Amino acid sequence: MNGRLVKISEMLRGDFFALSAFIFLIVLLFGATFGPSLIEGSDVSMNLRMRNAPPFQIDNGFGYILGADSLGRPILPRILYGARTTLAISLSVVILSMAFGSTLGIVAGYYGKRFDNIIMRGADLVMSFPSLLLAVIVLYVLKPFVFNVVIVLTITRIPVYVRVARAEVLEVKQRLFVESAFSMGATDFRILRLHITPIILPTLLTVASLDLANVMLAESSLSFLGIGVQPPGITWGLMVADGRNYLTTAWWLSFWPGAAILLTALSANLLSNWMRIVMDPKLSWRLERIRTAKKTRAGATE
Amino acid sequence: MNTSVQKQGGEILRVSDLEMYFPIHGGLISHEIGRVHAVNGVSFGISKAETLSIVGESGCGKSTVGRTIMKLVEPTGGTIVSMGKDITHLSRHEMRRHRRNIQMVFQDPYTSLNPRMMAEEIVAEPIRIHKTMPETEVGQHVASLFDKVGLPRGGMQKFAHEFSGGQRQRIAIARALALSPQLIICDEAVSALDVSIQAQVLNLLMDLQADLGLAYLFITHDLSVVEYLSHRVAVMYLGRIVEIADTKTIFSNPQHPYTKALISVSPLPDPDADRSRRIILSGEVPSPINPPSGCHFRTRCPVVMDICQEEFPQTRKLGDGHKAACHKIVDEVA
Amino acid sequence: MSSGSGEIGDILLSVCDLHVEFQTGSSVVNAVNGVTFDVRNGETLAVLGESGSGKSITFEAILGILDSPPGKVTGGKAVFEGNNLFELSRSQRRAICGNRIGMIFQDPLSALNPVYTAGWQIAEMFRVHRGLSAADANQRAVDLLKLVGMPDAERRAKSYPHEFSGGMRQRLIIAMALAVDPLLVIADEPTTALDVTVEAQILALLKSLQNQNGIGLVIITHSMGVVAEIADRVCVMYAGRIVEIADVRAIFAETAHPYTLGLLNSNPSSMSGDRLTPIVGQPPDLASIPPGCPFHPRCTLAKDKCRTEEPELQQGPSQFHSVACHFFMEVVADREREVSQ
Repeated sequence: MNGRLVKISEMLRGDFFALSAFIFLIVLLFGATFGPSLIEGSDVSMNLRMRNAPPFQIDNGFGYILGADSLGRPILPRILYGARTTLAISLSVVILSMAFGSTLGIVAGYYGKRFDNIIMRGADLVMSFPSLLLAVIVLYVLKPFVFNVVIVLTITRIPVYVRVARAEVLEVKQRLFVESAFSMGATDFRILRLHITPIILPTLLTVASLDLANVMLAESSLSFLGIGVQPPGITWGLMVADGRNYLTTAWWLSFWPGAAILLTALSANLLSNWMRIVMDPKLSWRLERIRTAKKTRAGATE
Repeated sequence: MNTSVQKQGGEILRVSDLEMYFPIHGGLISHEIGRVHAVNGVSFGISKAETLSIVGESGCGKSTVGRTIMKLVEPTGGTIVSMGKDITHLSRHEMRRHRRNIQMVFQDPYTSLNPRMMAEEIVAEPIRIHKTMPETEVGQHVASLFDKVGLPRGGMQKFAHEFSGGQRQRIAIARALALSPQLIICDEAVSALDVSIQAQVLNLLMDLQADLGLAYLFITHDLSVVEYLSHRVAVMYLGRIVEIADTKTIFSNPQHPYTKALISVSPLPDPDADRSRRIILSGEVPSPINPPSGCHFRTRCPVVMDICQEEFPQTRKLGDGHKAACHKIVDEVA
Repeated sequence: MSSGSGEIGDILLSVCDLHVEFQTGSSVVNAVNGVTFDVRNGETLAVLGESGSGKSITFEAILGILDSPPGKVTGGKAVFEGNNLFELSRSQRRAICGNRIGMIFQDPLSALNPVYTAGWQIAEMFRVHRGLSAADANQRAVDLLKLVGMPDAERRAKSYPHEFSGGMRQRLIIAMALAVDPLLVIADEPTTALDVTVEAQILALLKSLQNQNGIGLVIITHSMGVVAEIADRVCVMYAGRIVEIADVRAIFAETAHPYTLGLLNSNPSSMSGDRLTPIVGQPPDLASIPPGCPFHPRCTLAKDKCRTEEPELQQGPSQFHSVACHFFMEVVADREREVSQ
């Protein structure tokens, strides 16, 4: 296990973009958890004296380094608090939709026939609804609590996992080592647990990491439209929405949270790309080669 | 390896009139519009410690015979009797117990082993599925299996892709041996290996047979391997056995025109061999969806007669277990 | 230029000290390590070897179809019609390789475009390389299909590749390779994927086409049977090197390299009733070839010299029989003993 961690960290160093993305996300997580308590002037209550204070003015205190919004609240700490909510929602949605979607997809792909028909038609049904419209309708009717937002977003993301899991299972099911396990008398549960799931897991994880970005953007859209998280809750989408009216006068209100969304989504995508290469033994030599070239240049022997 | 068979300890497998057809669906409402008779009335028996080879070209159904006996697909007709018990219609749950008697080694060493399992786990899996011994003894048993197939014990902790093709096939053989079966079905088990490695694996199989009293059903298209390894040979064409006999007889006195052609065109590693009397068949194997009427071989047969188109040839007995299905052969023993 | 009816003429392709490197995983391997041979008009050269021998890579490099990020030609010449193929520009080389050298691949389905009919694909060769009109090209295509023994050629020309069976597809590939009227045809495992009865047909076809047109033919294979069937000269490769090269009778009757001898003894049809004596050990790992002779870890005759000094390919038992082994005389003696029994 130790050897594998070392190998993975070296492969991370081999890809500049993935490494940057990784560092950014680590800093973000750290900041979201501990940040507000470490930064002076983190009090996010209203402070009308500081209304629309511009950024980069050190005399206002570190908390105001990114400026303040229309109610005088400092932007940097709000971004960090907002990170908690945004990430909590996005991660929950991804984990839940991956769990449910993959299970349904595996059942559809492995058992086929009636299960396949029912599950796939259900997935088609959900997918053919414009997801944002669905979210709008549901949240309008059910009141926009965080819990409901998570449920709605989860439902709209499930079909993707169903399709991917089903397609992968259909292919893996045909492979000889699965036939071999069957011919030995293995139960379906054993085959699914030991032979099929470990093979399809990397693909599902790659899809999940890509989907994280999509979910964040979807949540931000909902907040922007006013049917996501409500104040006093903070999410990046809400912050962008609040700054709508001041785009020409106080650009920093929308800019920083918008940049946060962009950078986080970008990092998730870059890391997902890197993960895809790492998990496929046929491709991972590309990252290993760079590592060994550096080692040989340093005079180390294999 | 040309010794004729003596019944040592009785039959462990008897297949009678085995039939396996695959329906073809088509049309607007996907009803059955035709059938592919992959296996069309195949009968044979295998005795303890005997090697029976089934040889034929693509589309003859030999692989399907193997898979049907393993119950990877359910036969659509006929019976399979394993160790005296009729397993043809057993449910999957009832079949579990009987799977310990027959194991299979597959053709492709690169996809028949789970890439995420260590070699030790792969070989031990049959034992863990059937719980034939307590977990504490499994490691020792697997190590002894590794010894038997000539793999280093250090390899037990390695993954499949760290082994070469021949070594992977040894892992597959070790796995097949784990439950001490009576019969191992080798489905083109050496066809994907280099010649030098093939020879090693063939020798291993023969040693294991002598050591453990294993029987083999050896499915292949390579006649030279058949001659080396088998006691008896069955030749298949388009789902039927056209000739069956012990090895010596098949090669010295083939009776069916297809068998004769097959033997004559096998590539011989001797540039000076007499190739003038080769029977080079015209055309190719017809599609199994619409096989020719009467005798399926008639479209390529060098000695075809009128009756071959009208009537399907019954199996003639030629004495000493030698049978062939051809109109040209006269019964020697009724 | 071409001499018909089985006569062997001038040298068509002369390969000298070819080196090809490959990037696999974290190391660089010498997939082809100093290969030298000739192919003549009207001659069939069989290149015999197993996996890791470098036989396919040699010809991929010569024809310029090597996968270039992992693989790279790092030395040597390949002279065809007076030109060193490695010194030509890409377009010049493509012109020569497309026009004068035909290639037959192992897997016909991947070499055929599934959306065009068979006739169209052959006619395309005539349109592009000979500048014929569509009508002329189509007629030539049908003629060529008849030449390669395709039954019902006119109708088949209008069929798509997936409608053909294995043997028919292989005939189609042969027709495409011949369409440009090549001087040299290189066939990489042309019959490996075919049934044995069809293999016999295809080998007979290749031989008769060679006799008719006097082309040079290279057959890359791992089967001793195919070699005995069709070759005039044989070149045996191991670990990226040529270990023995001789005419076909000499290879079988006066085998001079332990590896070739081992291959013969591994083949079940050459042993009548005796036990096979396979070559011990595993195929070579190109990333870690030991010093000295690359075959010595698996060789029953290996002595101290073999472990330290790599043998050169030099004249062996006779003038046209070269071998890379320090002790080839012992091998020849062993083989003579076996043959006489």
